[in-house]
Amino acid sequence: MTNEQYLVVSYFCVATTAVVVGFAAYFWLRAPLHEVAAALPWKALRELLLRLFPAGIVLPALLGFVSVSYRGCNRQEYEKIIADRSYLVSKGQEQISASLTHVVWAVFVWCALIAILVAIERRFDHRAATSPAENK
Amino acid sequence: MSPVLVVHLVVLIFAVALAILVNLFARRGLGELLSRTVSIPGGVTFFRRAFLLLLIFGVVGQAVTGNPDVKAGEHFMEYVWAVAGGLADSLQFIFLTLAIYLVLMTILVATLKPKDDK
Repeated sequence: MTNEQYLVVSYFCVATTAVVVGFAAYFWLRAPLHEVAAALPWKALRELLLRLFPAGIVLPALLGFVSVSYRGCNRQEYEKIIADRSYLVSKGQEQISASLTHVVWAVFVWCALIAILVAIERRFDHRAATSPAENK
Repeated sequence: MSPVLVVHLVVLIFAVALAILVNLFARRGLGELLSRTVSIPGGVTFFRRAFLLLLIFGVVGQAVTGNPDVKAGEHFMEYVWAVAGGLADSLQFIFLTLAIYLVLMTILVATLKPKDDK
């Protein structure tokens, strides 16, 4: 296999891996997120969360993949890039790592968001529980 | 199998094993704390699953990078140093994940005030 063929095959394999990583994270967290969303009293927010969640996990994985540049800062020429197989391998590794790391940061953001929603929902529950008593 | 690939595989296995070990240690305590704090069904499962995912993805992301400088026929200890060098990034990521996650859990507990043990 020539270096150019290796570049084409590895690039699309890594792209597929990034998408699989994103969807794996999405399917792993989907069911509990649906349960959390179902407990929220605001229907519009619930729907918004459920619609944005797949994009909020899969897109960071893709973002990590595309954020790695083969040309680098010094704008290497294509011929120079494909001449070095080890450079191509290291860039593929970098792309996988970047997509995993981006998913990790996205999950951190979703955790923070769920924590905020859980806190808001608790306050809403307290108000709902105390208001009938106040009305009496 | 090339020595570089061997080092990468060993680093990957050790890194994932460490992540699973950390999750096993934290799992029970985290589950108890969350079940006392979060009343929404699915909330506990979400945070527990997210914790495992953060650890595994984080360490794998760190373990696949780098280019260990080992050649065939080198001494055993040179392989060990290469593995240790690769593991350093994964361990750093576990520490970072724990730090951020603990801060998040502390804020959650402080805000929601869990039921006490009495």
